[in-house]
Amino acid sequence: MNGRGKWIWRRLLALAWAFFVLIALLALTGAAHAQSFSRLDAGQQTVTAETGLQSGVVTSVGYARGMQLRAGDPTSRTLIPFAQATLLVARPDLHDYGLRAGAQISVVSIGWFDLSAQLALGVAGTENSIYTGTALRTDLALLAGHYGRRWFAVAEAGYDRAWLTYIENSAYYRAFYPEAKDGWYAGTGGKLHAGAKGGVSIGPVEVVLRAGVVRTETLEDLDLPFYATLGANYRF
Amino acid sequence: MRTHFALLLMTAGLAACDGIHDPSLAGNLVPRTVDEDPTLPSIALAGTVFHTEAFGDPSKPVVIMLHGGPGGSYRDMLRLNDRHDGYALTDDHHVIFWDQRGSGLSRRHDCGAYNLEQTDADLVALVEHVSPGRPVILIGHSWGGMYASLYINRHPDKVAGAVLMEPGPLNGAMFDSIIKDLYDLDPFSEWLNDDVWDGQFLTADDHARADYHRMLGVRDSQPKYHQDETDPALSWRLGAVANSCLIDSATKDGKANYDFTDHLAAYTKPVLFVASAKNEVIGVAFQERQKQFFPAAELVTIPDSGHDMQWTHPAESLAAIRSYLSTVAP
Repeated sequence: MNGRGKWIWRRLLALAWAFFVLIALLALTGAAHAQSFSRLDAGQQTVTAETGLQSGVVTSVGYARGMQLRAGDPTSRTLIPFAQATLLVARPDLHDYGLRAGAQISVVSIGWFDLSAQLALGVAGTENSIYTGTALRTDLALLAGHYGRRWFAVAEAGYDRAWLTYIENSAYYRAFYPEAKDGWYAGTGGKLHAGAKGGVSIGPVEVVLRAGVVRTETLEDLDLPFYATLGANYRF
Repeated sequence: MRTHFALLLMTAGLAACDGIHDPSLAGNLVPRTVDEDPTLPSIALAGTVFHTEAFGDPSKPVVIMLHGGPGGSYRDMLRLNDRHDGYALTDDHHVIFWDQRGSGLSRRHDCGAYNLEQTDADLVALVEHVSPGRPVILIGHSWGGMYASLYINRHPDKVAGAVLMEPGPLNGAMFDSIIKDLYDLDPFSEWLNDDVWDGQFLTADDHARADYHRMLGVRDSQPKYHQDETDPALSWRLGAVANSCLIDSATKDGKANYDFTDHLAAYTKPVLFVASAKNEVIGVAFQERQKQFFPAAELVTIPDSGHDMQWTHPAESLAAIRSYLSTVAP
């Protein structure tokens, strides 16, 4: 990690601790029937809200529902399509955003143990001092753990990649390098992450904490080498 | 049918573009270095290749420019080479501009190639190459002023004089005294969130992408330095790995672990400090403390300027340098 990265990390770590403390307090308030976003039954729906540190100070809203993989066959596995929209909330504007849609499905379920896979396609946008960009992305994640009635805890690992990114260099950057090429760039970035996700339910509301570490796809450091988010889901 | 139509549209859209670029290929997002562009002026020394230019009569006393960073480039010092008020450095000196190891347009290396010992060895080799057997004059800006101090601290007999333009902290204690003010680390600041959000688009998995990403904080990360936003001090290209790895090599357990001052008391020749009037972190007050490390140092302030004074106020900066150089024995 470089010098600037370390300073950033220390400062943002303080915010992460605040989230940990908050989730601990919430857990102590008790729980009711648990049903995570990850394990919706067929016919169930949920709206989600999530905020925290994940490539910035972000806030996301989303929607998911459980569906039978084979319509009309109650023995078939449940597919959970979902969609999520994310904005950077530091200085909210519509230029820094993420949109993703995908599905999750249980791959292996033995006793208390469940292994699920999640795949999403997405588009993300940014406008910063050196370029305006739009990325076409994929997110693949594996979630392994236990889903109880009132709580769940899973380990998660994933790989996300910007396969194709449109970059338009800013006038500011062109002062430095006038020949910088605008256009589509292939394979501009990829990240690996590993962490944990857990939650408790209070009636139809579920509170979920996610936290973990993240590296580039070649295991280089990032300026923000971890993520920590707090979410609330409402099931109906 | 809809799927096919969408694919057709996407294919047509991509084909209409000027191809799909490789973000790792120099020349696309960042300029080529001396390794990728053999037409760039360069010199092979100390196991690397430096991007370098020389101006003036080689028989005259040598001035070596030391740019900021680490990881910057000499481009933002070139205005000091222009003629101002009827005077140019090249009237009396042979002036050497060079991009330091892994910086600007010089050759890139892996992280292990950057440490203070190698940094010293690079300048030893350069001095020996451009001014064999004759002391040089060093003009360093920011990190370049620290670099000059490192060299004077180790090789006082090889330096005829030095101009330190708002150098960063010359030892760990000075560094610790300003660390909280170096960067705007408000978690809700736009630049900081843009910097980490960039990971959704570009990751620093090679030098080209790392150097491009490094540009993100240049404009807004150090507001207390009061650098000019409308006429930004330009670099050829930043050296991200040089920057981070050299800094890491000089820190231990998160604390600065270097000292460029422990032998400076023996350097009795005049040294000029130049400070900007506006810099709130390493400006006049900070340099007043730093010049105490040298037995014979003077401080000149450039009015109405920020940290990039050599770029925004070259005439005033050069006037101070000219006055100082008139006191330096050739």
